[in-house]
Amino acid sequence: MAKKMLSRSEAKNQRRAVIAITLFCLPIVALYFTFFHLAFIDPDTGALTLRNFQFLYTTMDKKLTQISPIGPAMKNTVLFSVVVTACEVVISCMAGYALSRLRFTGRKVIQNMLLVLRMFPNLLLLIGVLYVLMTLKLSNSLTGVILVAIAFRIPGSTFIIKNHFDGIPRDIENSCLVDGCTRFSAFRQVIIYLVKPGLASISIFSFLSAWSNYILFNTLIFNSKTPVIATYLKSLSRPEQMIVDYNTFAAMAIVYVLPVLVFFVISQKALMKGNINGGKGV
Amino acid sequence: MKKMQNGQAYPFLTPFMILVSIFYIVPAILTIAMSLTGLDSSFVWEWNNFNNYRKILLDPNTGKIVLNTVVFVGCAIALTIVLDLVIAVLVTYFIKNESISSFFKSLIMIPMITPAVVYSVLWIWLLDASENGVVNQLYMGVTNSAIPLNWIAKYPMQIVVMATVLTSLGFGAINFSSAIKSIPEDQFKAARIDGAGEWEIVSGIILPNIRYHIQFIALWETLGLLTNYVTIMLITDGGPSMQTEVWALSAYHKAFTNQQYGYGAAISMVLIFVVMVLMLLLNKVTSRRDA
Repeated sequence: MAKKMLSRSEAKNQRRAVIAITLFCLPIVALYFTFFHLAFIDPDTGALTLRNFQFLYTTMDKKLTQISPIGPAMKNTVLFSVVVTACEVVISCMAGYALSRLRFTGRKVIQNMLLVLRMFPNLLLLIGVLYVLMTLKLSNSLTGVILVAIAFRIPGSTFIIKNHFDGIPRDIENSCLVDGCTRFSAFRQVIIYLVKPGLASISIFSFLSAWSNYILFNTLIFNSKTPVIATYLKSLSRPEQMIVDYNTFAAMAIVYVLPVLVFFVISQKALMKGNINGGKGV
Repeated sequence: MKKMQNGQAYPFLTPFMILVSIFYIVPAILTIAMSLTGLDSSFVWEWNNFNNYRKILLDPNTGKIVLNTVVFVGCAIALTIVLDLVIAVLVTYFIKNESISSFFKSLIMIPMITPAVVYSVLWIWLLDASENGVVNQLYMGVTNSAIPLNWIAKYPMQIVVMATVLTSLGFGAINFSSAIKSIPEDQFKAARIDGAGEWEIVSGIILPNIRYHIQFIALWETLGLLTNYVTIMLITDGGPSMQTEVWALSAYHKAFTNQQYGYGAAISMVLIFVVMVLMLLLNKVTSRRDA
């Protein structure tokens, strides 16, 4: 695309707009920056240090309490996020495809259900969900929380991916079928590649929300045997009283937030690229 | 009449249907059932003749919680929509440079993607009640007072509103921004030839063009603000002395802190009815927006 020349007044407006939005963003950036830079400051002497990162490999002795290393929590979080993202993408992709392409009894009902479910405030159902998990003997386990996390997000993802499927011309698929593909191999070999931007966006949001999920673990797991980073951090910070000093907490927060940021930056590029390719047709 | 493809469709749909029935439909039915019982930690199902709903009406705190919810949602929604619009117009209409505008769009999204547990501590740290708190240092520097303020105890509602608004900015701003982008360039050109100023273009062309998007985001965010209590829970947990206790959070507290599952379910049911009405409106707006 050729670069559009801006007229003088447009350039002036652009400069003003940049200044305005910078003024708005500056406090946010400053806030994050000041907080996270605490991680590299020694709480006692004020010198630069990496001592605050000791929780990564060893037990930290603080005045009031001992802080166990982050290892198990990290492992659980990674496991949880990966499993939830993978399952969610596969399940919602399959459901979205069927809803967009196939005609079957009950299609209309499920489509309407999807419209409602995608907006339904699932946090209000937690009481019922807890009871279901207890009946299934899955409460207090990572498996249970994984199932709930997937279930809570698939209506939204299915809705997004269904819209992407709706945007693909039917002819592409019909020509696959004529060429001897079955529905499933057409789906696996051709269609999947055409909805890549959609897949990218649902997997990004799924991963981000799984990684930072706190409420499900707080509600559905009652012991500290299955910690994730969210509950680990929460157990060290109370509204009334921080258990650790802010420096150590900032160090932990960096470890927690860094994957999110990296993923966000990478996926943003991929998303834009996907959108451009997707717009050009086949 | 086309042939039905049941045999092909159902395998694709099975995992979806199983998960949705177990974790949406069954819990929804259970919630309705529980709200009619006095279920507590001993898990005895006993019909109690709408006592929970009566209890909601008689509870002296109900009025306060409703008021908190209205204030919280009302302030947060107004602020969110206005800021969303300002940001979207700035980054899409005034900033024509693609890379600058996407840079700012990602900056706006940072609070949204920050995990809630970290985000809340960020605020607690910022507003720390001791003289080491960042805001307190500023405050004591500017006013020369020697006594640090306990900001969270003093202005709890304002603080949770601000914290929540920042997290919800990303979604609306991006949505409005892409809506503004899809307005045909001709309209702007025609307006400029007719001598319209920038303000007239914003109020006369951009706003009318994206009105359904505004309605959609307003309803969508209301839905989210009514039901998502995680930010409030982590920053003030409803306190101090119920000043930030909103309806959804009170359902959570009753059910999971006090273990009154039946009562909590009844409180949730009331909110679910409100949400249902909002969802009907939302569906209407969505179909009008996409028409």
